[in-house]
Amino acid sequence: MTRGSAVRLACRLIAATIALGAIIDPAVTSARPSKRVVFVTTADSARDRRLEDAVVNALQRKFVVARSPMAGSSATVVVGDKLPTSSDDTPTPAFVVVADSNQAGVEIDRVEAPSTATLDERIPVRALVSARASAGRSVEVTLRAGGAVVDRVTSRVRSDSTLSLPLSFVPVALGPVALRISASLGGTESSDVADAMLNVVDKRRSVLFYDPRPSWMSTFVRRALERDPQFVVTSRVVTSRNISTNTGQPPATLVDAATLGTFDAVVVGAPSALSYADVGGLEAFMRRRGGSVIFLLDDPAPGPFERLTRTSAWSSSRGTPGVFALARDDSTTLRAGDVVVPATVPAAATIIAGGRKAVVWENAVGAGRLIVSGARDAWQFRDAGSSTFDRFWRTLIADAAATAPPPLIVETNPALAKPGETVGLRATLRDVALSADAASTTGTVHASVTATLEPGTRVRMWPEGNIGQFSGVVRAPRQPGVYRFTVAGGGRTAEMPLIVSADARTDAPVSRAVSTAWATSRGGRLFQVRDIAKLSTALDAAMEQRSERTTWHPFRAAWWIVPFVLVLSAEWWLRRRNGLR
Amino acid sequence: MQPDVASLLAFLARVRRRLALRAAIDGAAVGAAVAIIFAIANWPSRGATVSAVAALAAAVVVGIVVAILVTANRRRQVATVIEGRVPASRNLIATAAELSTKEARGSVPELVFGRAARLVDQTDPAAIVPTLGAAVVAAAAFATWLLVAARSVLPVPAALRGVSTAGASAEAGIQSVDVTVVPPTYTGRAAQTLRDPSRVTVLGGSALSLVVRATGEIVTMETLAPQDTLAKKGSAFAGKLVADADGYIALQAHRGDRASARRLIGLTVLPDSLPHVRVVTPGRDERFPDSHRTLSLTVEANDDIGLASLTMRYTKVSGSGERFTFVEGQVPLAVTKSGDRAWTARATWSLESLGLEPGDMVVYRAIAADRRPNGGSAESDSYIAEILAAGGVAAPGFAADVEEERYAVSQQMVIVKTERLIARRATMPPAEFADQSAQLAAEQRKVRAEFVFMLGGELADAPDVAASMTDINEEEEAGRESDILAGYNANAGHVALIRGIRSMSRAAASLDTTDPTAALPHERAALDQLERAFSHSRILLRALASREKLDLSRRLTGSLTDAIGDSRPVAEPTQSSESVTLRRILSDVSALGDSATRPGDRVRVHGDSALGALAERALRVDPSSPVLQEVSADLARAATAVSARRTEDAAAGLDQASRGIVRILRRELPRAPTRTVDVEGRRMKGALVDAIGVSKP
Repeated sequence: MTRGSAVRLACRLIAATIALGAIIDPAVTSARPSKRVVFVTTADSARDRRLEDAVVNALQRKFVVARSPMAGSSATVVVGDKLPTSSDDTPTPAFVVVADSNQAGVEIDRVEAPSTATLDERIPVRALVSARASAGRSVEVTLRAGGAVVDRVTSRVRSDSTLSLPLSFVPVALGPVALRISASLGGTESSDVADAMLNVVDKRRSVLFYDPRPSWMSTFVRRALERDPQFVVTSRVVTSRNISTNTGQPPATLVDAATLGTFDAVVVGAPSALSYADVGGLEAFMRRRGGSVIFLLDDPAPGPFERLTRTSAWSSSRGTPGVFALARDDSTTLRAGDVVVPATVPAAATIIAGGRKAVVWENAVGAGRLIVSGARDAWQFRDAGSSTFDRFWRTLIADAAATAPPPLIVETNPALAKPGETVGLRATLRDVALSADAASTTGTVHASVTATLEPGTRVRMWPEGNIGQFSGVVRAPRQPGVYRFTVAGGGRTAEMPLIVSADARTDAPVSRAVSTAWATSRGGRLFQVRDIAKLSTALDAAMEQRSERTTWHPFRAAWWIVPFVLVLSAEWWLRRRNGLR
Repeated sequence: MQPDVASLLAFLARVRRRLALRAAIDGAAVGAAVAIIFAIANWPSRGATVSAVAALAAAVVVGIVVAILVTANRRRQVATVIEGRVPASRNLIATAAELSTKEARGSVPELVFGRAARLVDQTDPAAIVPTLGAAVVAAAAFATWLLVAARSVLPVPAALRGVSTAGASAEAGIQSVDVTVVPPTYTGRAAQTLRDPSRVTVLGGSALSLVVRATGEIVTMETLAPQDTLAKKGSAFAGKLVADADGYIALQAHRGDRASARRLIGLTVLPDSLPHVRVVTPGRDERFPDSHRTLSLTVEANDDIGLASLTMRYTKVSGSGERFTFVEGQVPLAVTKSGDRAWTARATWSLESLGLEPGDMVVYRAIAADRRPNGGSAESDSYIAEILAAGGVAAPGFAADVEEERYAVSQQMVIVKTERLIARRATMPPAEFADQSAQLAAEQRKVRAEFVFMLGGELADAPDVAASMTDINEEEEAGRESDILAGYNANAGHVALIRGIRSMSRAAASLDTTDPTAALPHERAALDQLERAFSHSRILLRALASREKLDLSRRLTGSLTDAIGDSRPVAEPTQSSESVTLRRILSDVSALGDSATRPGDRVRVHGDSALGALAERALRVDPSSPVLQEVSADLARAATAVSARRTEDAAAGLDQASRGIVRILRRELPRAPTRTVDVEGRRMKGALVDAIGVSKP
């Protein structure tokens, strides 16, 4: 056999081997390193879609990327500034990828809005928006209710900071309303969205005016409230012995706790004329009902009422009328020239109006509030040109009445949920929770609460650490819509709506520090998008290399055709070179 | 191949090609004709240019293809066609063509080919198959299509637009509205005509003429006044109205029980402002030691349209106490008119000519009137020129209101003015008489207020911030009447003053009801009581009582035998109807906002008509409010955008309207409390306060 013929034979054997191997297709089982699975997730897919895609592109060459929870995932990469609420679906190590800190962006940190309101109010909504690398740009925040734009605010960013932007909403119908706040940064595509739920209820604040003797100040404050549809005003003015002028069905005395408990706030004119029994009744109203009491002083005479004010030394002044603005709204003012203030402000008291002078101040009495007004002649300056007398008292008393807890308090977290999301429910029995304050001896408290997510999902409620509080969890229904929690306890029933929406956005962004700590605690790190090239290496280092015995077919690769063609071609060339056919 | 045969075959090919071209042109013309029919029928869609052009192109292409296919057989028999067009051939070309297909040889075929070649050399294929006429026809068809497709933007009669004005099945609709505004004659302004305005701003009293071009049987016009129907004149509808208040004009065409979308035109009426007049010099009160003085007067007046007159009147006041005499006159002015709208007047006025004595005064003011037929006049501030008496100050007993008119008013003067008003009643228009009577009532109240304050009394509580400080509480005063009758006030001077004040109250009430005749006796009674009161100077001092303080120690010590309590129902506050209406509109806007911006003819139809109705409702709440005018305009624009399927514009209009309404409601509604109910937090704070239990320094 010549050398040439040997080479030709070898080529033929190689080709035949390749062909035979392809026909037989042997299976080989061996330990091989497997491609690890990385779970990439984001809490706000609409906002962080691009960032998420960039992460996936960076990882998919080396890893198997799963965008939904998958068994066997070896690591997690969270994209964006919002962390997952549950650790169940985040295998460790966990990394976080956020936008570059020098990339202009805007985020809604928090939305402040009341959870409940009435139809006769305008609802203040405050959006706290963080602007990053956006100096000189404008931030536009839009408030939508039911899809319609109801307010819009634009603010210019001076430097990286958090902007507090006020918006307003006017309810047009009863029931739950989904509010959507969206923020966008001018000149960029950066934007953020946050949702809140507002429950508009048909409830008027019940206020009792009690004057142990006629009082000018109380009369005009009462008239200011009587003209406002958000209040139901009941009054009793004791004009003489056993003679009074009543409006509505006021309690005969302030000692009747059961009747007094139906009011949200009690306004007392001429409190110096209150008896010890009256003062005791008011104290019980505050401590056991959590109600608010407003004293309208018009006479510096001493009396049992000073037990509640915790001061018996007063300082009177009469001079040029001054203007006293509400501490939290300097456009709401009161004017008075004859003012009485405590000689020393009681401990923990808060000044509501008067600046450094305690003209109107409040203090806590148990779970209730006591507000004391020393502007004795403010009623003489009640015309609109002198002050905002009516608005001052309506605002103050509405606030006081709003904070008085109802008999059964129901809260949901979140109030707006995605389908299948876990929703927490908390119920508080007011009378039970506050009864401990009045109890002089220890004992046991019996209470029970039942809750249902309409139409028929029972929610198990368990007592929490605080007396009178119960909590439970439930999964939000799969079908988007408006649902209702019905909670019963202590002979009372309360309802709270739950809005289920597929695109609900209620997660608040977290700071970079928190994200870093979260990732670090899970064996990972925080990356900015400019360092995304290093993410793959970091994941590789953090994850365990896995090899597993797998069965594989070596001859199923299409590349075998190349050597097959090469050897056959070589054999043919050699044959032809040698003059063979 | 023989040359003659080649020449013949080439000729036949050229003719064949011309036949194909002719067929294509004819096919294109037929296609264009079909496209014209489509365009008339507004198929595939009304007003969509791309669709129309595509339909044309498709029809033309189909026409060409069909024509070529149909005429294929004819082209195959091209020799027959030529024979028919060239009689001189006498079957020569047909024979030659047939022979050419058989490869014939011999002298005869050569002869035939030769003669046929010579014939075709002399024949022009364009003459056999002319295409010019067909091309002209095709071009005309294309031009006609162009006209029909673009008729919606051309000023062609409605009948040519494919919408029949007489057909019973045609929808009612408004095509255009012309508004001609004719300002009042006295303004001298020219009329102007506006085409399809969304808002018309006119001067009060202007006459508006509307011409509405619409398809329908009737066209209705609705304003804040009851609905009216326009008169049909030819193909249009006409109507008139006089603009006297802000509002709107809503036009709607009707055919049977079908109605078109409402066309809303906002109406802003600018009132003719009163003139502005002021006394520039001396521009202040003057006090002189004697009457040998001259005042240099300069007066400026201007008006937004045109002045009619500028005069200076004076009232000479002589006397003291309640014994005053008043003489009125006019100061001659030299008026310089720099145009119709701005005049200046000067005068050098000698006080000596008035015969003023020490203690007398003269009150003067300028009066300017504009050109309004019922007289729109305005007065300047009044100034006093007083001749001082020895040690004298401004005489007492006058109501000198520094905020308003600065001339002395006394009860005597009120009587004189009332008598004069009664005397002029027959020659005055009722509106002016009522206005003058109301002014006198205000003057009466001012005099009364002086005496009330003199007594140290307080007026009753007036919760209405629009109420004047001189308003009276009749019930309270009636209650005090009994005190007088019961003799509680033993001071005669005090009683006289109170009775005088009562009479003034009754006089003011009568003047308010435009009954000066009934007021006059009360005024005289008041003067009589005042004179009695002031004749007792010792008692007068006691009449100036100071407010007494309540002695609280005496409280609850009286007999309560006849005392009973009182019970009243809970006060029900009244809701602002405007707020309620605006809230309903906002709710409807929110509800429509989602459906109206979705595609779909049915939703679109309901969306735009509903939005138009909302625009009208919003304007009806307060036609004068600029914010609501803007809201109404936004809703009208959104309605137009919905009907034109411009969803983004519709959404933007609805958003603007929502925000406008919220802006108004925000002003009227109180701010909701933002504190949350935190039982546990408050318990803790209360416990902390209890534990501290001491006052902080």
